[in-house]
Amino acid sequence: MPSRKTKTETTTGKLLKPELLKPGDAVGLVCPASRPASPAVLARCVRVVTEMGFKPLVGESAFKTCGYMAGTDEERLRDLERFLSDESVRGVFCVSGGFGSLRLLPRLNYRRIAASPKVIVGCDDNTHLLLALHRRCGMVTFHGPNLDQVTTRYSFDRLKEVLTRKSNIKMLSVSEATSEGVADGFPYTPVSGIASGALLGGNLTALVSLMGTPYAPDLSDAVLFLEDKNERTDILDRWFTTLYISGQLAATRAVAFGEFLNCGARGSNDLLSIEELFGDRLKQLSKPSCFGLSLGQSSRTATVPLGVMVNFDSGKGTLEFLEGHFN
Amino acid sequence: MSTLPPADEALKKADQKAVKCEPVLVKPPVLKKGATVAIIAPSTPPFEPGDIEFTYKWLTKLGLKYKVGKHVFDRWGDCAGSDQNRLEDFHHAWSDPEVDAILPIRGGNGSVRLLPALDFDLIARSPKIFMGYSDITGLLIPIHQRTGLVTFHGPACSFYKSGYTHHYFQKSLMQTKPVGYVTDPDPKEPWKPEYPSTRLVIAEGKARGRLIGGCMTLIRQLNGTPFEIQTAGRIVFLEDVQEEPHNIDRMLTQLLLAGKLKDAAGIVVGECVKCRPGDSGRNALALSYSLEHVLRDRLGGLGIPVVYGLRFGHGAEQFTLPLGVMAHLDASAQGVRLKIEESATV
Repeated sequence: MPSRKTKTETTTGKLLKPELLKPGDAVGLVCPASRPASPAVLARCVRVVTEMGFKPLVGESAFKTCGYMAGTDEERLRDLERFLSDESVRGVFCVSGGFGSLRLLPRLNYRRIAASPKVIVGCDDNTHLLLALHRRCGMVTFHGPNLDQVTTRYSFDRLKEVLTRKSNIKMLSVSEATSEGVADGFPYTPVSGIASGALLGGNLTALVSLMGTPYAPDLSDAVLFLEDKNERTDILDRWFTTLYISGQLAATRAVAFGEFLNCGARGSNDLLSIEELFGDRLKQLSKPSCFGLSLGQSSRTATVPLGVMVNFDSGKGTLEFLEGHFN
Repeated sequence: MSTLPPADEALKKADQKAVKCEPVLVKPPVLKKGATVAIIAPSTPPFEPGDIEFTYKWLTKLGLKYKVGKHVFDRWGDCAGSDQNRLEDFHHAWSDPEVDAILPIRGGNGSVRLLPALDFDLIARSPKIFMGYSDITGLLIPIHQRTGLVTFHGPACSFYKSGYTHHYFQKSLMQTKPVGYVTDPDPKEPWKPEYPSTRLVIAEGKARGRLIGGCMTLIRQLNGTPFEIQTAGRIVFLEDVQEEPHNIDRMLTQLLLAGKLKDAAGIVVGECVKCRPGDSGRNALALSYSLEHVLRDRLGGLGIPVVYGLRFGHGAEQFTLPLGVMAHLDASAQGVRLKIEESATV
């Protein structure tokens, strides 16, 4: 296995892996960003977790409102800290995205969290949290659907399998990205190549929000994956340009593009697509890369551990996991 | 409230800081009648041909001549031609000895894409007036920080839409006296309430420092890159257009986490057109939190003066903010005073 080179604050390459989840384990449901759409959605999320065989504990702020956030910073922080530092709670699930987790980063007690690493899973705005915990604690965190996005049997099974099995995650391939589509399970590959490195990334908007802060991931020698949702192409080009200008893109081993749901050029046909805008840079840097992986926020999104070694083949559109994600 | 050191001492202190981490301040030659302006498009081309016709008119009215970049009307996605072509126009304007000032036709998207291949030495060798806003912030800040040149935050040249804007263009660029106290535009309709008022106090206090800032989206885009904004000891001015309050929260929180606001001298937030909840028409997360609420929450407790509403940004009325010159900000219950203490041109 190639050596891991990503740097975190607390370890010199040694990754803190959590314990796998077992039936009956208590798990916390939190909203570090915005609250879910309705009490029915939250109740369904509780049911999802129960059906997975875990004992759900709902954070006190999970259905509060404070503007665009679920409760005040203090309330959201209290829930998060309580679950992350309570020995009897084995996992933490984010219920929904939105905005707000960035505000909590300077106030988290990373030392205490690192003392007992546990499963934390989420996406969208919660990418801030996943990447900050990885950077500051050296923890493996899980990029997977927020619970309010677990709406199909497929995503339910995929999430459960990753969190309850000790073996390496089975290979992720673009060819399995679709079920009923015709001729759409193939990679669009700006640069063909094979590369290994630690898997890092998530929501592009969130990743760029960490740039210049002490919570930004070090993307050197990483296999970077990116996704986003409801964003204009020209804005996504801005953020990708930041990665390029900062030198972070050049430092990666490869880039895997996931889902960009409802992203586009405002219905305009004479604007460039992200495949063109991003592909331009990737070709210039000869960076193995492809579009079309099922990583993002759709009902067919895979759950993947951040920080573990992977082998990425951009020509085939496959992501192979070279190590386990549990202790 | 701590008492301010005398002006010359503050200046000396800021200069010592500047020598340590930045090049020496360079002021461009004043714009005289008969001078030539280069109209270029480092970001997006003009909306329509009429925009540039209008630009020719007002430049002529001020007694200025103009040259138009070869690629101003080119198209590459939403940019005015490829990075290479836009860069070619940009470099040509700086090296053309006939050109005295460089005015981008508009913002849009694409300026930051030019930075890796931008010839900063060329700019340092031939200091000229360079003025724009919005996406052009992506050039104003890096050029000022790399070369020491005073660059100008003011409307791109197809956005001169009021006497107020023209007044400050002439006051800042066409004479060498300091601008002094920034005034408000005359009310267009005295019975129509304007929000934000031009001088809303978010946090009281007094500050003296060199100006730096621009459009928040661009400041965010530069964060974590070798061109990111340097704010220590500076009066930081910020504005944006059509962004939801939660997005501005995100940008301010990022600046806070990056340590960019803790040693700033003061903060001046501009008009922020169409930044009411729901105004962006995309990604509205809440309709209850106003921008003013976000500003009070994120910036109110920094211990430095913070004001909101001065007329610069994306509105019709815009005064000129020269990056690098000394300014004084005084925010109290009695009102807000912003004084540009130093001339921006020589």
